[in-house]
Amino acid sequence: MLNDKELENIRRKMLELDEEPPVKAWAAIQAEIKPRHRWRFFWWLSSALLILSAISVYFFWDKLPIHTAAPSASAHVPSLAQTPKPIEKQDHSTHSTQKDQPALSISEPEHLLPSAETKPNAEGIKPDLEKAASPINRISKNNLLSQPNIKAPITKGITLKEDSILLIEANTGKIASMPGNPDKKTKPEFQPKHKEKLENNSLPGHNLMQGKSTKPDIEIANTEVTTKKQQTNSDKTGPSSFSENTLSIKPPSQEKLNTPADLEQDRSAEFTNTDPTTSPLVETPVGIPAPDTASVVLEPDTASQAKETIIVTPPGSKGSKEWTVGLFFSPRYSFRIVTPSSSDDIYIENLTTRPKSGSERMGYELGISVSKAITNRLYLESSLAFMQLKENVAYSYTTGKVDTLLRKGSSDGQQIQLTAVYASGNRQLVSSYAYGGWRLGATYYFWQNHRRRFNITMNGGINLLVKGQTTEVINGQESKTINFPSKENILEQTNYNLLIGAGYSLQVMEKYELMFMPTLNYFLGSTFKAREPFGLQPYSLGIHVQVKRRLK
Amino acid sequence: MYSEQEIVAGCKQGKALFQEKLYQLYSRRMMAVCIRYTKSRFEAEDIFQEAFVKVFKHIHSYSGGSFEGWMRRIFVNTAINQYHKSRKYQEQVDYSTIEESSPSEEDIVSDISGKELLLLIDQLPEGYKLVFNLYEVEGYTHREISEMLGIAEGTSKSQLAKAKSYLKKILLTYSMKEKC
Repeated sequence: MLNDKELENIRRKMLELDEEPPVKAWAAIQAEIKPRHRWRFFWWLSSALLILSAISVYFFWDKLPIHTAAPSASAHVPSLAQTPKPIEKQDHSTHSTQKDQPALSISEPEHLLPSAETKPNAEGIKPDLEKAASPINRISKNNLLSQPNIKAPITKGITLKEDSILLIEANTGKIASMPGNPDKKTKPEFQPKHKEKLENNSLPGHNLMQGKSTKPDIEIANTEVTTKKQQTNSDKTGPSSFSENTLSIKPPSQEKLNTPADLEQDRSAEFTNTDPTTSPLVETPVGIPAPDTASVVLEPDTASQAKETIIVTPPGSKGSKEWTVGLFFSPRYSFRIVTPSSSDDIYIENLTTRPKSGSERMGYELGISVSKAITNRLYLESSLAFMQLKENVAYSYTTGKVDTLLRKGSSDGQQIQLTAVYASGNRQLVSSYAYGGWRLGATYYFWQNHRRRFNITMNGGINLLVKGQTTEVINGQESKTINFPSKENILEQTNYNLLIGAGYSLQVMEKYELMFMPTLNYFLGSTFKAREPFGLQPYSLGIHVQVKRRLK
Repeated sequence: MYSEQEIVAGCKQGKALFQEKLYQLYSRRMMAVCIRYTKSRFEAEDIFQEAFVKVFKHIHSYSGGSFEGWMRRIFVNTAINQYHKSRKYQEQVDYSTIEESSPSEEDIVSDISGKELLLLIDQLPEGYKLVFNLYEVEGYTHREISEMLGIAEGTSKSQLAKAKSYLKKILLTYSMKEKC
């Protein structure tokens, strides 16, 4: 029996004992403890969709008509005095009936000038505005300046403060600018009233656009809406005011203006400066009908100057919504990534890679595709394909069984060293897989002319194994052949893949196009899933040759 | 250079760098544990990998004390589980014929290296080796051993006594060969 001292010695020596850990054990452990991405395919798909969405949004945005462009405070906006002349020309040519109208005038707000008269307190203005009988319509200067019937003060630039108010006087048709918005509470009060009133009087006319998308749109049908004496007199609720910063205007329809009623209404649209002390402004004729394709956006900048931008809406240029169908063929050369699989009793000593130039790894893919133009440059496409991939992998392995014990004695014959030699074997797997695949993706032509174009393509899809075969060769002798998929699980070896490529297309006939595109096809799953002690994640390089035909 | 506490904290956060540091720190010692409880290096390597994965996956449950002791328990438990799976214990050869002897005064262990000692202990029958390692090296009680191995407490005691006696004989034989 061992005594306590011996046992303590044994214990100490056993606890201090070190042993060399298995080679590459850390890699295997690391692979197991690494967080697994269960939704890896969805992650890839989501990423691809996100990129496609971003590209789509970018190009849709690029193609959108500019008349909805929102003004920005930092953008440079030319002053009203720099109104382009074409607008004036259209004024005379398209709206001759307005010649009879008294011209509206815009006066320089005196509060902008450093004189005593121009500094009346705000309280002094408001009561005047609130006189119900007063035919004064109070409009934000920006809205008013952009009305089509208001001739832009070309000869004299007007600078208005952001909060200043323009007065349109019904009797004389003059516009006065007043110190703006002493009482901020009026802003929310008047907006809904005006909107309702303007909607009730809506005629084919002008769009009043908002500087900020969060504010409600206000639409003015005609300038008569706010200049009719009867209407302003009957409106006992007080003067109208616009608090919006911008106004875009469509011209009134010709037919409407030519009717007697309209002419009568136009004649009645006269404004008088009833109180020169409150609006002692310089009179300037106004009344510019905007062209059909023009919108006027006015915006005050931070320097307290009213400026305008005239943006001509480009003619609609939506991409042709053409369809294309195509046939493609792609020779594919497979590579693979070896991944650890579930633990078993087999110890792989060496994984042999076959020669990279071997024909065993050449496969091909052929199929049909259909695509639809989303824009001139962006195509959404889908394809059905048949793909054949090949694998050839060999490895030496052992199950841990001792085959031979090598006995080695020391020179003096007193020591014997026994070395175990494990039984090992060689295994080779020659596989061929035929997949049916469906892909969905997009092609973007980043450069194109009438004959040739260059594209980038990104597709994601699913592959279903149609037929597979693996021939097992053990120690140089063919052992057995395994056929896939098994009857028990026809979805065996289902895989997902991601394809990216960049190519060149050439128009060969009027409706045909030939495309050459090097592609990389990356499989997201392993092809050797549960049957082998390791997994193979193939990826293949190929040249996509495709003939496309355009369908209108 | 990181302290053990920093490494463990890093592993709890799932940082790969600290996981590798922990592996480098304890892999050799834990491999020795695995070898003590198995017959072949292959088996030991399997247990080693499985136990290390367990360590990383359950490191959040480590709440304090000796980290090495906590790790060692995981490795020992994994080895015992593996032992149960292989059902070797049931096929245990009865070595009850081995006679127990009284303790001798001669210290024959001090002259033997750890590696040699490991090889000699490895010559013990599987059941003896398990009980001997669990009781004498790891410090488990007979009750714990009986629960772990699913045997009676008395069986554990008798196996230990026989293991000691058997090991003494092996040591004496080895010692005599050394002297010769």
